[in-house]
Amino acid sequence: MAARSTPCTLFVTGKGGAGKSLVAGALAQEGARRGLRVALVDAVDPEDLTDLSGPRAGRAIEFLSLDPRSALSHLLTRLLRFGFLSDRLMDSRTFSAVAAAAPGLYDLVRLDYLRELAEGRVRGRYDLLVVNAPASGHGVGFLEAPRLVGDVVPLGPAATVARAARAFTTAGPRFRAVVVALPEELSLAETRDLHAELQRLGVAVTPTVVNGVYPARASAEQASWLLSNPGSSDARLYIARRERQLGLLEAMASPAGPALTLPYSFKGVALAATDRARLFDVVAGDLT
Amino acid sequence: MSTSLAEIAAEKRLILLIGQGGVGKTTCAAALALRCAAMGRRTAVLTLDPSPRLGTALGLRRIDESPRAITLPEAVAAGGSLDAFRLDTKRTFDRIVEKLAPGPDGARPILDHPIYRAISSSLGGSDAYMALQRLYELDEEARYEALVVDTPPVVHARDLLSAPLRLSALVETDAVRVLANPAVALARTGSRLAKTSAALLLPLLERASGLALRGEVARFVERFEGVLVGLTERAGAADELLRSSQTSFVAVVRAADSSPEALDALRRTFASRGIEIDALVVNRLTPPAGRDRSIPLERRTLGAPEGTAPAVQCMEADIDARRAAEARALGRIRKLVHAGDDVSLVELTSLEHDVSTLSELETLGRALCGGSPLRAAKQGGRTAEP
Repeated sequence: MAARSTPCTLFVTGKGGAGKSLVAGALAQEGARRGLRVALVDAVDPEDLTDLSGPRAGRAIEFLSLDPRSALSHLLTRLLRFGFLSDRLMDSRTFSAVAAAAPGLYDLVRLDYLRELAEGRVRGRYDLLVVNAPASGHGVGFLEAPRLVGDVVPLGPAATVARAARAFTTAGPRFRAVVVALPEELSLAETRDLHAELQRLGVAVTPTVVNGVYPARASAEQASWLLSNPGSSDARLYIARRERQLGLLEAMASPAGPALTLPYSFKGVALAATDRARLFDVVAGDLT
Repeated sequence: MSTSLAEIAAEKRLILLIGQGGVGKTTCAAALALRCAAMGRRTAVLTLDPSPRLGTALGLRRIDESPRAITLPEAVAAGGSLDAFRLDTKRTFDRIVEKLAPGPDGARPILDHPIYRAISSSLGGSDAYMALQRLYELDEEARYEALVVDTPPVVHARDLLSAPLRLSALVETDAVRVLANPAVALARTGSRLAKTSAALLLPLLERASGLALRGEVARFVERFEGVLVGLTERAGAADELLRSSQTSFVAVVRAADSSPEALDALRRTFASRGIEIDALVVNRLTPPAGRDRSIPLERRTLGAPEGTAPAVQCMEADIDARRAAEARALGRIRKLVHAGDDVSLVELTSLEHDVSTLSELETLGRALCGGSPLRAAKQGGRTAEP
């Protein structure tokens, strides 16, 4: 069993609509059920909050949100060693000027705050930190910030912060990116690109989580009969869709192994407990 | 009075398709562009990330940065044409810099500068900005009567709209100015509190930047100044282009995962910038139940392997549940559309396979612009699958 004093960060990422919130929530819930001290960090833009549908009812999960302004204030307090530099001094125009001044700084500040959280320097100690990353329009989003900032400002405190953030995200099994994808053609290409970028950045990954696969309802023999007889147009539709999805799965594998699938919910219900357990086992089973 | 897609295809100069990734935007853009061409207009379709299959459907080996003509007999007969090309964001930006960079050294010192590289690669919505810059270029060239654009899937629609202004505002005001002359830039914020925080932040910025503020950055700013002026003008022009009455926005969504609340929020975001969404395409609807459902299950599975009947029952129930969910979402969308401003609504049934031929694109184009079996009726039930 891994030492409880070394927290693990699961960085749940992927395109918008793939089911990141669902997966992040499920991981947090299962971790708590297994006795870990869990923090779930939303890390989403406030405008996205209305869309979240992941389970909020959980046992012993601390819900945190990554407010960039307080993250920046926290960082500045550390760097300037001025205790009195509080949020009040950060009026919004100054903040946006500072944030805009160094491209990537906005993201780097949040990443730094995550590192502080993981290392127990902000709110207490956790065994597991699950981060529901913002949907990245392109690429890995704020995981790239250390490199971006490092390129522009190679020296000084900002560079030091960038280096620490970089070390945090490349700390192997203690920081894992969980890519969530849909079983669709477009998602396949995007997932491959995402994994390539994560590899380039040196970030460890878990198996890809492919969300929304139609469960098998017919055996191979039954499926074969249904596809070649007029019997049921809907069954043919179902089987054909499932087969298209399965065809994409192999290509969705990550360096960590074959993809893990989560079933499509036809009735719109949340994940079953068995699926949550299976997800956790594959992604973070070594923690318990 | 709403504008139908047929009218949009016939009259508008710039047609932008917006929506998340994976909804069928690119395919719809190509299909719409085909209609424009068939109506006798010199048309271009611009995509960011075309799938190889789309290229094949259009008869191109690949879609790249230079315009490639699509062979369309129907269009030629009407006096129209269609070119397809892909947007290359990095090359577009570099090209702009090359065009605008002053002095004997040209653009190289800027393009190679780490600050430029950081700015050009990390700007949120830079894809959107580049797409609009490319449009601006094409609009200026006046080669085409109709431009159909498959917009980059930005995370928030507001990023697309604010892209032109944000870039120049960002580069001109905040990033470069603050780094070059922090005291001046921050002092402009006004309040005493702000000035105090500016005074405290200034040493941090100077220490954190690691660059000699008066040297390195000032040199970059000097060179970039000329580019900035040009960018500002273009930003203004690109923004005007978006708001023109000759421009039309068409949103593409999937019934399965669009909430009316999200749609309404989208509409309001656009409205707050004085832009109306003209049409909404609800795509990938599950085909309606077949006539075979009226035949008893046992008869339909006569001769099938053991256990087939219950398996069919399960699958049919699942698909029905999906239809019900889509119908509910669609009901709410329709109410929203009819209650609010005039937005044309088009509902499309899923094809169950990717569009891969020109003929399928043409069929889709006709469905979008009215009158084809693929297009579901606006009110009440759906038409049967062709």
